[in-house]
Amino acid sequence: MRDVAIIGAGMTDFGRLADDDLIDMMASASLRAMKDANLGDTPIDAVYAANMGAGILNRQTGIASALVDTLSLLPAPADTIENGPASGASAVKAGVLAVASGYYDFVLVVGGEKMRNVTGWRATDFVATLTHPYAEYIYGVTLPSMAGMFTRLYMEKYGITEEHLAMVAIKNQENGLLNPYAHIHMKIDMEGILHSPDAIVNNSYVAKPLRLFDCCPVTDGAAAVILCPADMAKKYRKNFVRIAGFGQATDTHTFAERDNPTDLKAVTLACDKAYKMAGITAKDIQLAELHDAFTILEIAESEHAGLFKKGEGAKALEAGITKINGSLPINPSGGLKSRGHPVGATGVAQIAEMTWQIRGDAGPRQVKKHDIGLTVNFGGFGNNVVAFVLRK
Amino acid sequence: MGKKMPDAYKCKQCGRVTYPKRVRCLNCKSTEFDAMPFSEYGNVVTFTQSYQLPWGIDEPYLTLGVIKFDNGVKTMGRISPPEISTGAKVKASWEKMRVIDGEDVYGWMFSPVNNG
Amino acid sequence: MELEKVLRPAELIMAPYPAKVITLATGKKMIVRQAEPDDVPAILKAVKPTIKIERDYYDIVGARVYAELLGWLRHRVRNEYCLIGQVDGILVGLVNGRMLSKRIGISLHTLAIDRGLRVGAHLFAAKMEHHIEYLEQHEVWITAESPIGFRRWMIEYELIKQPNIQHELGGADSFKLTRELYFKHKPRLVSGTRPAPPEMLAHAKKEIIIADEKTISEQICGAKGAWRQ
Repeated sequence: MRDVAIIGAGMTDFGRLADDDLIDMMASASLRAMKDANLGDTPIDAVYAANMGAGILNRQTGIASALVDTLSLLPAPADTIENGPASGASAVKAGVLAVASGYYDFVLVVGGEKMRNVTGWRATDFVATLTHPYAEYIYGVTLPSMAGMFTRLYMEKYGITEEHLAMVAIKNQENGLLNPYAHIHMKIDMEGILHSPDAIVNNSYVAKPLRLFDCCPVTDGAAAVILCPADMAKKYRKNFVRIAGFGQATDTHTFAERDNPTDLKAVTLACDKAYKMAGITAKDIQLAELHDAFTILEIAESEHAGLFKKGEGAKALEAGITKINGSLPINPSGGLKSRGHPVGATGVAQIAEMTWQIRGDAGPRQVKKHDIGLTVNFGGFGNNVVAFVLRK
Repeated sequence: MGKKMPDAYKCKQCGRVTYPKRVRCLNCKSTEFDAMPFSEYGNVVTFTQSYQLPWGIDEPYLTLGVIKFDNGVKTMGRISPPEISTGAKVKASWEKMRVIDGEDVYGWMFSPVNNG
Repeated sequence: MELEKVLRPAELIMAPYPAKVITLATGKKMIVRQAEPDDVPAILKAVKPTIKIERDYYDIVGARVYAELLGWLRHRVRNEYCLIGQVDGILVGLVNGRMLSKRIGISLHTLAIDRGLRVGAHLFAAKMEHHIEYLEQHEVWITAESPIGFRRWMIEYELIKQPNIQHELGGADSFKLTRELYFKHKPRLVSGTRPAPPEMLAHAKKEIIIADEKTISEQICGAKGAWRQ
């Protein structure tokens, strides 16, 4: 089993990319990553393409096959990977396994989603297809409403308030201002989104107690990375980044079936496996890109990943520890909240961001300590989680 | 789901109750289950008022929740009043929820019990 | 006889809309006030660039609003009003409508120039507030060019469909908001504080600042693309 390195990373703008179709976006991200990897004439041995909704939203399937054609990467092996919102990290995992196994050397992993060509209601309905068809979907349940139910219990159990959630939103939107790729470039403040009586409209309830600014936007975009064996990496990039470990775990399909609905078991298991493989503990993590599709998840994941004790995530937030200049920055990219969430792209975008951070290439959003980082990609509603530890 | 009220399932080997049906028991992996009726009452585990509903639903909002039936089975469903609290006692009924692709679709509706 | 008098409509007496201030998500304050005819030339400068933007129906809304405001300025439209939203003097959105009769109001358009801040939602609510609470009408007839914005209002205000009653904008059948529905949804949908702080209001009245055409286009369309360098 070989060690795997990331030698290139690239992404498109995240946002409403009205003039670009899915394959176009994914091709652009791929070329950026290939350029960043200084590949030159080195051929790509395999392609893993992450996407969740093209079959439903864009009436197109076989995304990886379309991509290798437009990029003239034929006859490279190519697979499309679907794991809901964790498609991106699952595709990275597939790429890592491909290289580590010794069967493939240079692998392109690219994730993309085109969601803004349909109305918000249809996009919401599409994401809801990952719920159980007759025990959940038929009720009109949505991911936000599942998160709302989870948030209510988490608040009751750990004393988290709407103010804590607003702090996460404010922090991540502030970080997003420093990220040229981010979907949302907008500074928000506590008065505007919570304390003012006008907040009832500015920040209306989406799924009580979650509000508009507690939810990530619907976004178009693509992100890509180039993987290769660590012992071949130096030739392409002196400051390559290592995949130190990864972990994946699953949990019950229906939210109701969870023994303890506030326990994100899959997050804990996935992170523990990643730490073990990397030979570290949670204490060694210096920065993290977590899956804040809903602000509550940043707090909950930070605890379940062992970065803070259960019930202490909010305290860390209050103390400014997770701010970009804090001692354990979370989501320096702006997270899903501000960078946006093209479902299939997010997992790869997290890895791309972590790559830039560890290299020291993140510009104005560069965090101070950046040797070892954690990414968590949260599929379903926490029933399929993929985590990575990246290091210098 | 059609008009007929569904059953919950009890594992023949270890007695774990579950809904919806699984091929293998989540506890002991047995593939043998006994059909078990849902009880009439339950308690609210959690809920939310959902204001942004998916395509196909025209209501301004719905109250959705997870309910634990008296016999231990847990399921998601709709709650009839907009306001409820966690732990509240509710009565279950099997009702038409919506129309999908021209067909009536049924599901659980929960209403609070007055002296709950 | 005086020809101008023949073409100028008789007007109902319309109560004024008292200005209010709304805190936006960014923490900035938006003044919502009734525009005077003198404000129209400045407003038209902001509306004009939208006529070229096909995205999200801005072109048809822009073209119609331009005509409605010009018609109001030149005394050729009866009983019209226009409410504008200003942040630091800059025009961020406008709504307009008119009184069909004492009882019935017609909602014309909602044009948001600044996006992502719910300016459209705030101004649409202000419009309904004006018809029901200040013009003291009984119902407001509503239609829309953009299906998305419209479906949101239809659901949020629980508007009543009026089959076979065509809205004067032409197009589809109209929907109506009644006094009952307005007051039912007011706590959740209508915001703002009165009176508007006098200094802020005076500043807003002094000058309507319009961004240049390129900025307005970019604000509405965004400048993003997969191949942007």
